[in-house]
Amino acid sequence: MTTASVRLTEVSKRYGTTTVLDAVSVEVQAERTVAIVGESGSGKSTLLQLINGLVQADSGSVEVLGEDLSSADMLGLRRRIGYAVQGSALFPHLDLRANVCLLARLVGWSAERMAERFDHLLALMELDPGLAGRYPHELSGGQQQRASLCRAMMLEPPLLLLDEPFSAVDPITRVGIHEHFQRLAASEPVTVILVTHDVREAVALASALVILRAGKVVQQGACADVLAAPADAWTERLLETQLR
Amino acid sequence: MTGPVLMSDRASARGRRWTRQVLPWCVASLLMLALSASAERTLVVGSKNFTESYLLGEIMAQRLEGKGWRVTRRFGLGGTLICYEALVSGEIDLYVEYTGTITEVILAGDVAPERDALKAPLAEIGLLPLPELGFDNTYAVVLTADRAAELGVTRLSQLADLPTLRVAFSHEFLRRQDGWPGLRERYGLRQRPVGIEHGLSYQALLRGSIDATDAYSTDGDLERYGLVTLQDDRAFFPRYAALPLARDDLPEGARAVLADLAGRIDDERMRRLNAEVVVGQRSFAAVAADFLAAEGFDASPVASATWRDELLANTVRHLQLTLIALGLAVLLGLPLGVLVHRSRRASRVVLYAAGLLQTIPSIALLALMIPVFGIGVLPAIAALLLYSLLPILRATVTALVSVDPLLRRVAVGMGLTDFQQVRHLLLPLALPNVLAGVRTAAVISIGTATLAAFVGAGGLGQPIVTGLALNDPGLILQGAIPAALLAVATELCFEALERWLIPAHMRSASSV
Repeated sequence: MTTASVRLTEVSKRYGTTTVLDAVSVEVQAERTVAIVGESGSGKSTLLQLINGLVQADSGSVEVLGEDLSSADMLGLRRRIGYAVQGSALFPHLDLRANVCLLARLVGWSAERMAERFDHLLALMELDPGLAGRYPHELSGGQQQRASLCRAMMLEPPLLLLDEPFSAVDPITRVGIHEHFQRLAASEPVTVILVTHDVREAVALASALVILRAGKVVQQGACADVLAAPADAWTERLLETQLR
Repeated sequence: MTGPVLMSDRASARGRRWTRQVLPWCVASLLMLALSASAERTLVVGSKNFTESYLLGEIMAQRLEGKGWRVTRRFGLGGTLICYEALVSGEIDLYVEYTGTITEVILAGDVAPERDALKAPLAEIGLLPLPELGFDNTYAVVLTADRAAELGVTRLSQLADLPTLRVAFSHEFLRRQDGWPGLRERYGLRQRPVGIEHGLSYQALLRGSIDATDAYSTDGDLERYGLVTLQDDRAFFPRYAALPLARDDLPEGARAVLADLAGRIDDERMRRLNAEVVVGQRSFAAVAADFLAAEGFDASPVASATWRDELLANTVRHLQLTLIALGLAVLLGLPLGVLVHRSRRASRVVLYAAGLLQTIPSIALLALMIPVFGIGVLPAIAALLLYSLLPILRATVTALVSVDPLLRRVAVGMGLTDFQQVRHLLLPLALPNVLAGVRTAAVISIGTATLAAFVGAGGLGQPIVTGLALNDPGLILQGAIPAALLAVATELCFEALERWLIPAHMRSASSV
C-alpha cells in the first residue's frame, strides 16, 4: 500500500455566507502528480491553500506529510512544501540566484550545497547559468516560470503545490515548460498537486484528476478512468469541450 | 541579523559597512550629549532674544568668570516663558528679567513691580530676585519722527483719534496684559494691530509699511533710526526695572558678585550700551568687557571666536540635531509603520496622530517640549523627531500597503517567518519609498532645526536669532545660507544613497 502525502477529510470552508468548499475529501498518494481541475470560482485555489495552511478549514481535517495541520508546526511544514503560483511571483528586488536560494540561505545551507543544488536545478530546467545574476524583469516569461519552479524545489521538498503556474505564458512556451516540469517530477521523489482550469494541461501532466465544481468534488481517480467514465453530464462536457 | 534592511546580498554587505561607519558616530554623539549634561556644575546664564538681554547676560557671565566661576551661556531663548521654564527646571541658573514682566507674565497677579514686593511670591516658586541693576526699560509705542510730526501725535491718548493707524506689535506684546490688551482698554484704542517679529518691526516702520510699533525705552535703535516715543500720559505701563532673576539655590558667592552690579546702569547708560552693539556693530562680549573695565571690575579675557569657528560649530551642532532626530525617527517610524500597516484602522490612527503633530507650529512644539525636556539639545531633538515621523511613517505605510499580495502569499507559503518576510520582502520593496520619505523628513528637519536656537540648542539658527535681535541681515544670512546649502547637500546625499542601495529598475518610480 502506498502512503498518502495529503489527506483531506470532509473539509469545508466558508467566507461569510459563501461556501467555497463543501465537505471535500481528497487523498493524494506519495510521489504522484494529481491535478485539481475546475472552473474559476470552483474553490480549487482555496483547496490548495488549505494544504500549506494559508487558509484554515472551518471543519474537517487536513493531514499533510503525516502531520495534522491543527497541531503541526506550520513553519517547518511549509519549508517541506514547495509552492509556485501563477505569474511566477519572483521577488523583483532579487536576482535569479538570490530568488531561488533565498530560503536555503535562511535555513543555513552551506554555500557549496546551495551552489550545487542551484546548478542542478538550472541544468534540469535548461536555464543558462549566465542568467543567474539577472533580475526577474530581465527574464522572459518562460524563464521566470522555470525559475519559479527552481525556487519551489530548492529545499528538495517531498510535496510541491502548483497554483496555475503555467497559465500566464503563451501556448508554445507552455508546452516547453510542461516538458521541463515532467523532467523535474520524474527526477525527484516529489508529490505534486497541480491546480489548473486547463484539462489538457491536467491530463498531460498528472496521473490522477480531481474534478471540482462549486466547492464539491464531482469525481476523482486515475486520468484514464475519469476520461473513460465521467461522473455526470457536466463533467463530460467539461472534458469534451477542452479535449476535443 | 546584522545590517539594516537592504536589497540584495551585495547591497546588504554595503549596508553593513554603512552601519559600521554611521552607527558608532550616532551613538558617540548621544553619549557626548549625555556626558555634557552630567558634567561638573557650572553656572548657566540665560538671556532672551533681544540685544539688551544678550548684553546683560554677557555682562553677568563675564563678571562671574572674572571671579573664577565657570559659566555656560544659553543666550537667545525665545521669550519670557521659555526663560522662565528654563529657570524653574534648572536648565539655567539666572537671566535678567524686568519687574513689570515678572508681575504680569510670571506671577500673573496684583503684585507691585518692585523687588521687595516680588521676593515673597517668587520665593514660593524657588526663585530669587537679585538687586535691581538701575534702569527701567518700560514698554513704549514708537513712530518715526517724520510720521509723528505729520500726524501731530506725542501722547498715547491721541491714538484714540487715529483708528486707521497701521500698527504692528511683537507677538509677546500683543498677548501680555501689560501690553496691547491693557493699553487698548486704558486708552480706548480701536486700531487692529498685526503681529510681527520685533527684529523686523523697525525695518517695516522705516519703509513706511506700518505707522507704529512697540519698543523698549532703552532700545539702542531708537536713536539710530530717529524714532520717537509716545508719552504714556495715563500711566499705563508698569515699572520694568531690570534685575537678575535667579534660582534660590544660586551659591552665595555668586549672589554677592552679582549684587555688585546693583544700580550701576541707569536708563541713559543702558541705551548707550545697546547702541554700541546695534549702531557701533561691536560684539556683546567686547561691549560687556568695556563696561566692566569702566566700572573697575577685573575683566576676564574675552575669547572671541572667529566667524569661521562659529560657523563650523553651528553647522556641526545643526547636523547633530538633524541626524540624531532623523536617526531616531527612522528607528521609531519604520518599525511602527511595519507594525500598523496590516490594519487599515491602526494605520489611519497612527498617520492621523503623526499628521496632527506636524500641524503644530514648530516654535510651539519646541516650547511644548520644554516642560518635559528642559531647554537645550533634548527638546530640539524631540521636536525634530516628532516632525520627521510623519513623512517616514506615511512613506513606510504607503509602500508596504502597495506590495503585491501575491508576493506576500508566496513568502508566507514558502515558509518565511514574519521577521523574514519583513526583512527580505516587505522592506526591500518599500525601501525606495521609505528612502524618499526619510529624504523629505531630512530636508524638513534641516529647516526646522534653525528654530532650535530659540530653546538654547544652538545650530545655524543661532546667528539667525541673534541677527534678528540685532536687526543685522548679514548675521541672519550667516545662518540662512549654510542652512540652505545643507538642505541642498542633503538632497544630493540622498540621491547618491538611492543609487547605491536600490537596484536601477526599482529606483525609477521614487527618484526623479
